[in-house]
Amino acid sequence: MNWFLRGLRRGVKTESKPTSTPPWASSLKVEGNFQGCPTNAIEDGWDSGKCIFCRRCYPSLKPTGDHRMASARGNPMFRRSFYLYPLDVGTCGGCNSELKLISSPQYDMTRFGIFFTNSPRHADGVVIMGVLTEGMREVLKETLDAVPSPKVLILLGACAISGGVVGEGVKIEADVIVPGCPPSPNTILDALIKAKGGKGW
Amino acid sequence: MRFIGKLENLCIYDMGEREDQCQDFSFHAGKSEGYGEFTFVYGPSAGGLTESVQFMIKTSGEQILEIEANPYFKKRKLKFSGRIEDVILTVERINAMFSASHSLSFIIAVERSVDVNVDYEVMMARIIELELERIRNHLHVLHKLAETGALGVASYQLQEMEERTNRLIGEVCGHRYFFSSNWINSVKCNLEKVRLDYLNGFNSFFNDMLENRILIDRFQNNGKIDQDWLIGPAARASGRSYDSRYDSDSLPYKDLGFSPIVERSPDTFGRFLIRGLEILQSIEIIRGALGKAKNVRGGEVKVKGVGSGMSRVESPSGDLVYKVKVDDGFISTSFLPPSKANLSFFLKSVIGTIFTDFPFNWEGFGIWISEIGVEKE
Amino acid sequence: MVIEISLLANLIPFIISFFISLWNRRAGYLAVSVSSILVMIYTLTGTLTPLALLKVLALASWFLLSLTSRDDMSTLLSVSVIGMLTFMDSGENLFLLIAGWEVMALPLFYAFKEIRPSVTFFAFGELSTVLLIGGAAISGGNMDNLSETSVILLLSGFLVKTGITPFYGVDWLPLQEGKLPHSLSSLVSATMTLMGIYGALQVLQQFSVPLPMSYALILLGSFTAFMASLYGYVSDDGRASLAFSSIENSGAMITSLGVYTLGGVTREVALASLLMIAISNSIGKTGAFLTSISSLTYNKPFQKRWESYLGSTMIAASLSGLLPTAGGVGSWGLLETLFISAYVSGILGVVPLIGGVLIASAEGFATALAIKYFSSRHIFRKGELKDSDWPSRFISGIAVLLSGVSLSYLVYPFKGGLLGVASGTLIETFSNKPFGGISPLYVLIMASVGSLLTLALLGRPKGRKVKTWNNGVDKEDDYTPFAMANNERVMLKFILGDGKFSKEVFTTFFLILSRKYKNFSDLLARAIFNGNLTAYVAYLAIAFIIILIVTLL
Repeated sequence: MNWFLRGLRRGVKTESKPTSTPPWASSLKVEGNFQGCPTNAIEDGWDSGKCIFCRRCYPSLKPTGDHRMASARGNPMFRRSFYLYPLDVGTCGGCNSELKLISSPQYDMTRFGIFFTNSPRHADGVVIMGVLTEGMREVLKETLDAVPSPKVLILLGACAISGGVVGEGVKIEADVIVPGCPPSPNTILDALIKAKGGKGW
Repeated sequence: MRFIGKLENLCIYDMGEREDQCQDFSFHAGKSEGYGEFTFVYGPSAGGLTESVQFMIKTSGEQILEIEANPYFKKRKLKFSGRIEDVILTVERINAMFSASHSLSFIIAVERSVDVNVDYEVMMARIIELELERIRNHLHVLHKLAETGALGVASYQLQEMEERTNRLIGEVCGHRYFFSSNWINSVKCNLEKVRLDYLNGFNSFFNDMLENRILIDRFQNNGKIDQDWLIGPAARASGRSYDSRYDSDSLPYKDLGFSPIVERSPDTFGRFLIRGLEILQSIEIIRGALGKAKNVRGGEVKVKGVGSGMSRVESPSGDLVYKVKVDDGFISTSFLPPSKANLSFFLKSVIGTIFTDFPFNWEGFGIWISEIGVEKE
Repeated sequence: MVIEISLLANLIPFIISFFISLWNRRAGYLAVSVSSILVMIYTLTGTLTPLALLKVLALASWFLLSLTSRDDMSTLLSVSVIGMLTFMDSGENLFLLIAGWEVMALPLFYAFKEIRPSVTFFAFGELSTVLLIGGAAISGGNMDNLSETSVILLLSGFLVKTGITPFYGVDWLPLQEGKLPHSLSSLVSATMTLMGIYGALQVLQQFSVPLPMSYALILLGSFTAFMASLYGYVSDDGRASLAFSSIENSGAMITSLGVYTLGGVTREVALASLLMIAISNSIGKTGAFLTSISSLTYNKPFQKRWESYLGSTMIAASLSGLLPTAGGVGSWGLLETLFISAYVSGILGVVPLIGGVLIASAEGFATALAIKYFSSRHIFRKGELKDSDWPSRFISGIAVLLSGVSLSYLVYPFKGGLLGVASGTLIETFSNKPFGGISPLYVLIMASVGSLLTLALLGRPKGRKVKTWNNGVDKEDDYTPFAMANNERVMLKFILGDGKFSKEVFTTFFLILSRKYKNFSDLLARAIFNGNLTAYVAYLAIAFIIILIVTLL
């Protein structure tokens, strides 16, 4: 009973609009010239997939606070229910934590019909995070085989997309690309909602 | 004198380090008879694990008789030598949740190797960073423990507090995991934005959690480990006041009146209790340090000279040691993460427990595999 | 003299095989096969008594065994066979019989890999020999003048060797993992236990036994069958499971011997059933034994061939008493005779009734045993490694199937017809009116036609095997036979008791028996002699009243 009252007292924490995107996990605007990006993300404009948000290019590139950096090929089949299976192939733990945080009360992923599952056989989408390490190569292949079609492949984080400064990215044909190092929960939620055929967050 | 761990060929003690014969990390524990037992595979890719690690558990059905862990599935080859500006990018990304601890330990080691005089306000700001990270990590561990114990309200409220802390860090330092917030003799954070009001009700919240019979039953006598070689919350739970904030001079915690919290319960319950109490302690430390820290922003400090240095800071899960060798802006470094030792302790403590106890024990230790499986390129 | 000449004629090919095997082991096996065929042909040209048929069965087993064995035990095998032939052809000469009995077991002494089990095995062997010598001495070494005592002693000697209660150790012990090489295990299980039955039949054909002894045989045999099949079901050692199956079959054969000695209308049917069960045991075991597993190792994988599947299924069906295999016809016949005896014997019919109930339960456990054994071998095969034992499995399976469908018509006395079943293909039993009947041929035809029709109409089963998800790694399941057996042990705890089961089932059996008896006597003592004075006074009063009534009458 105590807990129930405690919950009531704290009130509703779920937010109806995205807030509090930190500057260095939001899209950057090119305002000047800069050479010396450690991942060559500023060759032809700003490549969000390669950026590791190290702030070296500041103030030639400035953060806008806009969290909508993801690109997604949506599949409206999952509009009502989208089960995700996270696969860590070589992260630093950041992407894992940020992905987990979309279930926190502020974001509340379940109101959008997004859920996590414990088995790839029950999954609609696989969230692949981290650089592709040797040990996880076979595991990645097995996991992708185990997920039944139709499936959505999501690359989360600069390490998975391009490798960042850490190694090699995961070279697969992905439906959803979520840049960031690590991407904030707002970016992830925006990407996932677009992936299941919605308008974004 | 307490033993911390083995870093390459050096044995690290709290008083110093020396080349010696000392205990190495062992990711295998227990012994099974063989007849009628089978191996249960848990990981690397399983629903209950945040990161990819494999456990081969020998069991006759329920009780864990022998266990072997393989944290090298996601072993990454990282660049640990080069220009300091590049190496620090790698160091931050060894383990994002302990990023402040890693980068600060690294920076302090560099400063020591070339004898840079660090401003007092910068040190206080660093203390605030470390304590914010500690609060966030402890909230994360408590959330995982509550989630495993199926306490829905507590789990979500803790997660909400963790997200608030992350947002606070993002506002203050520009990045939610302190990436690129630290440099030689500078801290790129707006400390006046630090507001800890959202944690005002944490004391009563934690007390309510402590009265929950489910938690008590699942935590007590689960994962008992009581030996002299322990670090972090596991050590302090067993009654040993081992804390780098106390016995290392990397940062001036003593000026804030710090003394380690110690409990006499060398099991998951003790580790749970220590973490909750340390959150309250960290809030006090931050409030104390805020008075002494200014809004410090440093410029580019060129590192000149040759030298080598070591530093030790208290990450949320235990002692973290960095050793660097500087040569005029070029650096090579190696480190001892707390998760290596914690994984050895965890495996030892899990023998004799049953499958249901496993997730509580695992989450209670706060082990991050990403910092174990790291190899020099 | 005539006996001795024919005996020598039978022995000479095998003696030659012995010498050949000394020179080359593989050639020795070939020689044994050839000799078996020769002696078989010679035997078939003579009079076909039931004993002769058993001898042919033994020869067929040796033929199959030597054809498919690949180790180098041919020397010891040929010596043992010589002993068994001597035993079977000894005629009236009881001392020659005992000599053959000893020689047949002697080579095993050299084959045992450890000393302790070999000594234990021989202790039982010598016990049976002692009983045989006693029986032979009383009857003056001649089968013609048998007295009741000598018959009891001889029978006991023979039955000890067949593994009857409580002498399970005879069969189970030498067949445990690592004790004997596969070919000799097969020899012991398939043929050596058959020798005990042969001897018992020989004695019982000459001497008509009183009713209590028949009933004793029925009860002993059926109880053995029940306990052995139970132990076999819960065993986690593959070879021990098969050994217990042999003991179960021996128990069934002894029960049919008991019914045979009852005489009457069931006599011939009981003998025929005995033959069919013997065929199922010998041929089936020979094929099955070369493919055993133990609980810890997974040697000898099964390859994915239809011949292997068919052979294993037929052997399993036969061992579990299912039509139309030989084992099925035999079990059916045995149960029919038991229930006919119960039907016609009035109040005493409760004994064959109990026997029938125990045999039926034993067949149930035997089905479970056989299914568990063969399905676990097929499910837990490791990859497509070379499996060179499938021919023996296939031949054994086909042999038990065909003998069930063909030989059964030759050995069973009554045949008839019924609506839909052609005349002459129905095997019948009678009490004082028609009792029951089966037609193995009919069953085979219907099963085959049905299956082929289904296949033709619906096509091949379209199944696909999906790779199991095991945390992303390629690790196969590590499910040991111990894990499977343990569930059953826990379920049957009230019979088997607790404690670590897997070792000495023999001692465990005695412990269980004594524990149950102790509990019972404790209960009885507490109930009757309960220290209550009024109870004692009541006993006195009752005793007084009974004596009064008896004296008055």
